[in-house]
Amino acid sequence: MANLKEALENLKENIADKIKDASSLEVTTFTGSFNLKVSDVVKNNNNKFDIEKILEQLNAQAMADLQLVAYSMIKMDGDQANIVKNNLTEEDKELLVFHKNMIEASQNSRKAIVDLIKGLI
Amino acid sequence: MGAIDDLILEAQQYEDQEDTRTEELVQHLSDLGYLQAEHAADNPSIQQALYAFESEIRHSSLFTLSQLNKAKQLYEEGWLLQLLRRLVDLDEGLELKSLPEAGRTCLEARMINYRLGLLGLWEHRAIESLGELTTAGLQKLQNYGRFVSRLEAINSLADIQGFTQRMIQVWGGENMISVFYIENHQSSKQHVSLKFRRRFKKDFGSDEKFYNSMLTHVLQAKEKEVDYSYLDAKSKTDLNHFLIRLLQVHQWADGTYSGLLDGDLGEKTMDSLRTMVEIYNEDEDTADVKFKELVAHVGQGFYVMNTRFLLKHYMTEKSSAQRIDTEELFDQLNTAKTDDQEAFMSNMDEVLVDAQQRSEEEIYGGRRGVLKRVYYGVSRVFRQLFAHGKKFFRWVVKGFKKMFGFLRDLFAKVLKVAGNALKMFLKGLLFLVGRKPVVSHQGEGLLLSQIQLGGDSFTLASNLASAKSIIAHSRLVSNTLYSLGFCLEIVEQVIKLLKYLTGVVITWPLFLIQLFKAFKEISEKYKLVQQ
Repeated sequence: MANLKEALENLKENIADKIKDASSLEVTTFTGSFNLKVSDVVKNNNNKFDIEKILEQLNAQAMADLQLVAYSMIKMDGDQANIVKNNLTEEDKELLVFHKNMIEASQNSRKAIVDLIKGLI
Repeated sequence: MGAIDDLILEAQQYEDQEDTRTEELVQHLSDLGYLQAEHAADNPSIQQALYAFESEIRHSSLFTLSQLNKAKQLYEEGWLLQLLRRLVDLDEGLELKSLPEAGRTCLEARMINYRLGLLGLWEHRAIESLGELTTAGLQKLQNYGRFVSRLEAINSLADIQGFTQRMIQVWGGENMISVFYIENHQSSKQHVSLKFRRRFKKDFGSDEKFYNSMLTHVLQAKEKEVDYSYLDAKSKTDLNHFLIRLLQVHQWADGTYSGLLDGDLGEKTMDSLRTMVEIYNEDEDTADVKFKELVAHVGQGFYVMNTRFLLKHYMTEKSSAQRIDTEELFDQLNTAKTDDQEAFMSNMDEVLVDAQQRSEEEIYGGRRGVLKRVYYGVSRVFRQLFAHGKKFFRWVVKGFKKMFGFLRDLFAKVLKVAGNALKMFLKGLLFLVGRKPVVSHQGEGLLLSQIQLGGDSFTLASNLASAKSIIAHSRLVSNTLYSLGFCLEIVEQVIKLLKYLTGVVITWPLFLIQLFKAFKEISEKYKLVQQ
């Protein structure tokens, strides 16, 4: 049986550690052709899924032809830097709208985490 | 991460099982007339019933559009079950703004007929609309509770304990001595104990006329002097049946009665009453009562019962436990002797293991397709748990064997009703450890997004994904993030458990209680459709 107390304590430390040096926020959107099945993701859904590791795996196996659609870095002081792909297709334009929504969503998530930490302190 | 991984795995083990969810869904859909009993095991019929239900809730005044959207976002595939639970809740039920038009098929009419049906005031025909039978049932309910209107009467059943309190106020005198007849008990001897007489005098002695009438007609020392025609007439009155039925509904909701809700008192109801008296006697703050103090065989199969005392028991429960008071329990645990702490933990774990088994087998009838009606009202479960306040800790440590059955059944329900809370907690936890991606796929057009703990986000979209599927994915991400705030608040509340339990190991049953408490409080804050 899991040691619940230890698990909750670990979780508390884990949250605090990861947020400690987060002075900026990064939002990245890629598109491209890649050979990734849904089952590769779904089977790992609750266990060891890690999007960065999947990307590494795709690159290593030369199975992917990925293109950056947009990248945004938002600093704590409000400064923002953006990189956006040229010659957007209709789908890319839709992805760009999605990317903008994700910036707001990421900021909200950051706030939720900060609130959680405040609550715990 | 080892301990967190173990926590995730174990929490997943306690999550709601698909089979038991379907059983509950079928019960509610049948109760509200969307599904015929003979199609209970038939999947296409269940889907059709759900579709009909979903279509009716959209036209109903019982839920706002915002509530429906929030429910969909948060409970995902379980949202309709959540709404169904709310509709059949008798402790924190829904209230109608007005009565629906006669003959109109609607959710409001189904809810009215369901409530009346439970109390025996409506025959099960055409549950989907308001007909003459419903109107007659509503009229009876209005008369019984002396309500100003039928609407007030039906809304009073959103809080059945409040309704019971009103019934005691209105009929607290002679009608609260119920009379019933058990055919196969004709041969057994008359038995009216001295204790029954004393309690009868104590509870009803102030009404001299009724008291003397009972002495003359019923409480005779010799069986042959009892006025059986008086008893026969009284046992057949509508109000007598109604009050017995009300008692049965409480017993059923408490999980101590599994027989038919029929207003007749048979062996099952008697056994359930005995259990109730046992639980009552576990309370240190009240003087013990004997079963024979409340029920007496006056002769030839006729029994009299002190219904007022029994119904009052449910009112006491309500007033003593309006909220989920976990802090008191944790405090007791922290200050207890080490031996008692260990006994509490180990006994509670035993309860949970057995409860898990029970929730899958006995509560659901033990075999597929056979539906045993179960009351799922959440607040009732926790009210029961905390109604006994300080006794709960002592029960588990000392009186464990005696109370094991009661606790096991109670925790079988805790597991059931805490399912959504556990789901939300897991969602929050998986996000926090970076394992909650949002994945959409339409054909080859895979899209996946992940927001990291610090807020950084990453999206990978296949170039085969259409504009339509990108919009759908965007909606999915938005729903996930909406629920994330909710889930994180639950995690926060649960982590705070550490603050209360400083010197002891946290056990799963306590963890589940705290989890559910957090879920309930946060749901109220979010103004959700919840129990």
